[in-house]
Amino acid sequence: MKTPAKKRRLLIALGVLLVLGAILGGIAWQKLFRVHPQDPEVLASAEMKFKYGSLGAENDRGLPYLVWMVLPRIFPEMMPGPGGYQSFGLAWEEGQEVPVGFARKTVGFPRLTNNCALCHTATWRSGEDAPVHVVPAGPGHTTGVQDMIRFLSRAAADPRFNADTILREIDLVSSDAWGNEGLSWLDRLIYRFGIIPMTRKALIEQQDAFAWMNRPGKPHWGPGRDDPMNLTKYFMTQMPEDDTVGQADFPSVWNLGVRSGTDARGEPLLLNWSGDTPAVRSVLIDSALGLGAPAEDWFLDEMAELDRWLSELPPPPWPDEFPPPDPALVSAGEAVFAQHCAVCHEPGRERTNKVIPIEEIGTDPERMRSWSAAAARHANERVREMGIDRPPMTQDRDPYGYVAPPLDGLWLRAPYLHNGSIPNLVEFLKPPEQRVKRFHRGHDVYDPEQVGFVSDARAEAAGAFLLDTTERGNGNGGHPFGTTLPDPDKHALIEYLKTR
Amino acid sequence: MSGEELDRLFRESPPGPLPDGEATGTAIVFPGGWLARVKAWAMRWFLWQGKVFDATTGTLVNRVTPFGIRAIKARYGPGESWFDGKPCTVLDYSETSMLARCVRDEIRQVAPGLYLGQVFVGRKRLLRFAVSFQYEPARTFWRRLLAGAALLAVLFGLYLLVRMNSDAPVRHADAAEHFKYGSTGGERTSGIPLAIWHAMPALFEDLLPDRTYRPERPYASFGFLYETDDDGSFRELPIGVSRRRVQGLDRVFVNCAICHAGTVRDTPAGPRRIVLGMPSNTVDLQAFERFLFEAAADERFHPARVMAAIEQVGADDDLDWLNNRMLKKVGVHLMRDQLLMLRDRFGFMDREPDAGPGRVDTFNPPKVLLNFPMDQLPEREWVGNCDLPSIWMQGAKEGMQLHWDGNNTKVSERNRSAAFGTGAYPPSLDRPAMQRIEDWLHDLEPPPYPYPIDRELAARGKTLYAQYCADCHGADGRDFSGAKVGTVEPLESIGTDRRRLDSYTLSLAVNQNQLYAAYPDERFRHFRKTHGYANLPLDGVWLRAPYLHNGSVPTLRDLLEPAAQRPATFFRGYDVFDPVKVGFVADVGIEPAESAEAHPQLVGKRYFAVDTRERPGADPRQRNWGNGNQGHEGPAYGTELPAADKDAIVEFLKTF
Repeated sequence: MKTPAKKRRLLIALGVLLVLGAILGGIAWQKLFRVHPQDPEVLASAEMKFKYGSLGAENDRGLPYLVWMVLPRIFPEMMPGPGGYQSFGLAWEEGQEVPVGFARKTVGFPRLTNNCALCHTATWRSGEDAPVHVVPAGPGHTTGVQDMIRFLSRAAADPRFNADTILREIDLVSSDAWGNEGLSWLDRLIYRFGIIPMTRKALIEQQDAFAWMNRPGKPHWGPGRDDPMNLTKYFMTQMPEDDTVGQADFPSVWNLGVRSGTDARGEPLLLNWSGDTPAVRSVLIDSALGLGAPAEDWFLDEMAELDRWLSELPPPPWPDEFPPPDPALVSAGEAVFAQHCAVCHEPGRERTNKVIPIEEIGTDPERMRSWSAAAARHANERVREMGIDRPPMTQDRDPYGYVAPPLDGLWLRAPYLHNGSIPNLVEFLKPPEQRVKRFHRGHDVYDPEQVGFVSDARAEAAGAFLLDTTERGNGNGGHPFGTTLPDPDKHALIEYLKTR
Repeated sequence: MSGEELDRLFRESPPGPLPDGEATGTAIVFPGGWLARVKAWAMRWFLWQGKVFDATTGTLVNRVTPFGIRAIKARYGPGESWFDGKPCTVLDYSETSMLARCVRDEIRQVAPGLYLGQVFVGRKRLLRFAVSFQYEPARTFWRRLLAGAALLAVLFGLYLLVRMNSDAPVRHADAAEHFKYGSTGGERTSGIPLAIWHAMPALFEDLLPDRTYRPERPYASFGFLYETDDDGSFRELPIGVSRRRVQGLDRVFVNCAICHAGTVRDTPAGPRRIVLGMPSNTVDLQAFERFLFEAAADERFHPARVMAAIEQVGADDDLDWLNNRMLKKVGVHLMRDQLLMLRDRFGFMDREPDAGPGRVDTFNPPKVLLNFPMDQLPEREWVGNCDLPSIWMQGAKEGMQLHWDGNNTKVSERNRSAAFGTGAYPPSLDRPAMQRIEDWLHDLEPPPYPYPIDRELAARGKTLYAQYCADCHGADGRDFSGAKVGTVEPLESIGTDRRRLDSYTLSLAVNQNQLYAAYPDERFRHFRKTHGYANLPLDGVWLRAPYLHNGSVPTLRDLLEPAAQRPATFFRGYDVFDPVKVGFVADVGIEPAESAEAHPQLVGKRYFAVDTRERPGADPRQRNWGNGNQGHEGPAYGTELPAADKDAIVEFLKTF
């Protein structure tokens, strides 16, 4: 029989336990889950949000910021070169704490996720000794996404990826040991026994998820490219692995207004290289979901806002740093364009933003084959399951060609073709068999004569990636249009295209 | 049992026979409850174990502390209880104990061999206790020993905790002293144990640049400056070396003054005047680093040899037993490992010409700090040697493009960046100490030119200066107004050696943004890759020789000549002033004999030969990269003026 005193003691013990539990829970919430808004400067403008804003993927894909920061210092021999994460070809603006395309947000502890700008921000400079320009929404032609994924996996698999080593390096960055603010002993315990081992586990699991891209016969993406439809298949739809390769250039995402809506006959304009999606919003949503964004209302609002901003964002004009296009040549070139190119590349014309059948365009078919109507159905199903209402991907027929895009800001969209297999416009207008078969890409020095990035020995000296067009999926044949024009017409056409 | 129950028991119990012999005691602080046992246990272990009664004398002593020390005497005998006025045995301390004179205990027997007691302090009942004769006292011996050991361990642990968390810099009341000898916090993470600091030059005499160990000025070999105390004896540490006790061990490391305090002599035998804030013209920091690295790689860097050397130089006096053991067992090994790691990382130094006194490579070390793969560094980044700058009048320079290439516009960021050079990392930087230096440098002015100035000539020079120089270098030595002052002059127009510029890259600039990332208010935001060299104000320019960013032109007068007429080779590190050409005498390669008495530490000193001519060759250290003395020439730069005009400009510059 319980005496009142015993009951009281039991109650007190229960109360103490409750209070302790509440305190512990509070600490756990504070240290692991409490969401702090991003820095005000990040949220200050649409452009800043595009470059550094979080898509909310912290719980799914977030890396602990401090761990991420010190990895290049722990594994220098795994880095492409000196320069920390910048050596992966990331656009990194002066004064900014993280490269463009990285969002730093504190959810319990500072975490880092990626956003659209990682692959859709271009950099260029007029010479080795000229300042670097960062152009949001341009193709991230220098960004080595695959190298970065591989680096993280290799690092996680290395025995040096342990709490001792990582915390020792973090100690040089953040530690309250001398009465200065920084990681406390409690934080360090959380890092040691929670964050670091869990990060390691997640990165190793990620390596397995990316195993398909490392199989023999799969070409390196190199800078400025990924394998978008295979990424979609294996991460969004969880389809079984197949043998396709679909490496493709990161496209520009400015001025999306000219790519959205319907044509005069009411048929939708198509996006993605092989016309896989009929609506800008769907492309944005699917790409962001691929980065781990959660399917929540605010996310859809963000996407709507992003859609509006990108739809109206003008393409960058031909830079003042270069000689201006010759007006006489430009007008001559405009006539050539009107005659030979406009039907497919002038916004509003019959075939612009439409799929040109592969028999006609003749470019490398691998990217097209990496997608299918079945995959589209899976993807649409999956997105519906997430509770997202968006125009579905084209699911009534397999891809059969490539989209003819408008040519806005064309000068900054080199290298050309869907797989980035032609370094510049001069090469582009050569007959397919005469085009350069091996060149270097990922160097950001621009060549205003050739209209494209420097891709020769100078690029090689700078450590740029060697693209071999004889590799599977890298072929640079096809698009014979304009290649037989007389030289003066080509010259004039190129001069005109500088103004697009 | 509750308190009332105990008191009832006491009231109902007889006094019992007078106790005799050794008894175990239990204090009853707040009776009842589950804590009672714990409290009783704790009291017995740490404070009071019991009493020893001696019936023959009627006295007793208490056994106190974990060691059962017999102390606090009392008389005891039958008496009347203050508690209820009935008989009991009274233990009276009032006449026998200093400590407990106002204490009175009363006991009554509650069971055979078990007495319950009341403690009175004054007339107030404080607590209850029990003494028991039921236990064999012998059993308590091991307990006592254990308790003693436990207490010792706890005390020792507490002591270690306090000691290992100790962090006490040597403080200096005077700001200038603080600049010379104060700590920026570098010792916390990078400190060299003071004893080893003292021992190294003795142990590795052959690795010193001049192979001479000077007990009073052991580091003078690297051009480090030793001041004397009021009694004429040399100070223990040179200028630019600070001391702090960290984890109970005195440690030293360099501070700002190691690079920003120099000397001037009028004549070889004249006194060396120390000027704070001027470039350290005598200090060869790279030679010092190489000495540390070579010593670490030497077989003599071994605990036995190092400890012996510490004893030999008498540096063991300040080492207590614990520090002595710690150094011997781990300290020497740790320091060696650390130095060998740094030696490996600083291998880039072997790809560039020696810096010599007064120069350092500023921006390859941060790449090392970030652990860039230095073996992949492009050749154009290899050489970053540049002159140490003066650091006066920082307040007037806020907002200018600082550093030789103007890569940062924020004085505080520039300072935090430089603090890495003093071993201070973001968590270990001593912010108040740093702030104190910043505040002092805010207004510190260079000393006036101490030699005669031809005022008439200077006045003429002023006009020419205004015409040719003022736009970029300011109106005079204190007025820094000028359209281009503190901005970067593109390399195409300045034309000086580009190596230092190329050693700083965009990728470094952006990575530096993360160095202070955990401290949002202090994070670097202003580093920029530039494409030229900054136009600097010329305050105290007479003390800033040799000139140009790489110290490739020995005097001001030489700088006004076209590059082809500038000295292709000269010596630096010699501090005798040349008031004609304005700069340090640059043709002396070895310390003249006449100074032997005044400056015995300089006897035979060889000065550093600068060769400005790039040479082909396999050995990067012989190629003289980064030493070029070209640029800053042509009509706009005054190098084509008549000689008399150049003399006039130099005369005016003396007033700066």
